[in-house]
Amino acid sequence: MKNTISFSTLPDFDLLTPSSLNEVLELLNQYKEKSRLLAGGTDLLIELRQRLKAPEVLIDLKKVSDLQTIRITDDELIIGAVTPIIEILTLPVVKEEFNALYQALIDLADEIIRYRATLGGNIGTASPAADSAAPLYVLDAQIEISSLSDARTIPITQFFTGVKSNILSTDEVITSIRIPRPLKGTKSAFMKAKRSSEDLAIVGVACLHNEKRTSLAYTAIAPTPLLIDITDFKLEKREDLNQTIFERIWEKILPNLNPIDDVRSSKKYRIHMAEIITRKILKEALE
Amino acid sequence: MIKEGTRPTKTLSVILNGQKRVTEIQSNETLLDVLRNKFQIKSVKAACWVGDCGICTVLLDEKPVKSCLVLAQETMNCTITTVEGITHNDKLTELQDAFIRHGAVQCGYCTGAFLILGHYIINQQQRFTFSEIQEMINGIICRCTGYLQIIESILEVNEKQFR
Repeated sequence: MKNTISFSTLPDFDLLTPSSLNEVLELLNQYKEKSRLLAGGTDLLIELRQRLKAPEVLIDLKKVSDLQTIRITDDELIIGAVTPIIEILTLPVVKEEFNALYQALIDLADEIIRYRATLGGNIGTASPAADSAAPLYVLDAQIEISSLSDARTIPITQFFTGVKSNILSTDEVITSIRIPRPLKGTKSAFMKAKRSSEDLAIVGVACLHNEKRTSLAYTAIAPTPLLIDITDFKLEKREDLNQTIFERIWEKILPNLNPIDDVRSSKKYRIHMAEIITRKILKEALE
Repeated sequence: MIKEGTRPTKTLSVILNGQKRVTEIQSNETLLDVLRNKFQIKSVKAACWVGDCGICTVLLDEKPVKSCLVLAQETMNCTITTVEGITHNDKLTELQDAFIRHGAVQCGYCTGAFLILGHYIINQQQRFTFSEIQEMINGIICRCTGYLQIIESILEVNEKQFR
């Protein structure tokens, strides 16, 4: 552990404040790995304080209004990458149709942080414990990415590549997160185990259930979030989830889990909590 | 890596507690650094530096932020309110008065942060329940009072608005 006194200062960098997406892309193209993107800053400034990163420039995305829009169309919910979490929560459709996302975001960090933290930042940081990842996995979210020369859209399941690493190349930025509107009658939920109200998750679990499929997603229990499809178990109602079936489901899930021991929890406890939450969240989805 | 402290300074202009204030800053200074060291606003305390404790909470353009997680440069031409800016003519606000009556202050270290957040909650002009206020203040840590008195103070003033 470093001397905590050094935490009270940040390393040197230049802050650039582009006002359009095009300017952002030009700056990224110019500085590439010498730059870091600054969204809400609630993770990045801490990493800088701890000298985990030493970028020459920070490119502030908060003045780019195109990155802060939320739209709902007939088919999908489109959230600009730099939209503060608190703003996403104010949209009634989020709670009505994307309940897993709502439940993850309303419990993400604390109320003050939610004014500042952004959805794109939560994903882009690529923490294995990113609360929003589990619901976005079960909700089939797509990540829109731009660079000066190209634009691409990828499923969120391809975005995370390891602990705090993602698929973005050094000249790319997440522009939005697109989530298809779920089928009528879809139930989705998110639950996490944590030590205190503002803490990072010990484990996070999201569930989605409708007539076509049943899937679960996990955070903080492997180097990247995990998506596990359990449609094959043909769960339709609460009675279908008896002890035998649950044990078979858990047998399918367990080999995918690869948690670490850390200050928040031991491996053993993480797995124990994952099992308890999985059972609970499935029961509720089948009610 | 660039040697620390070698960047040129920039001029920051903000509206702090209703007054225009200008100072020279380095790019790596946070709002917390500038408020305490340049503007001598000492109600804003520093403790964890990583956004956990919430003791450095201020209002930035009328919204609560933890000032250790905001770069000073990001606040160019913004409005900043600290507890020094919520009183008028040295008269305590209703919330400050409620904090005293409810015993919501012990060591006082977190009080500036809770007051400014409480001020924000009251300014929403919306009626909140005990548990909603409990949730809204969960970003600030108090090690003395146990929160109950703080929540009761905010709740009392909030309820008065709708009487």
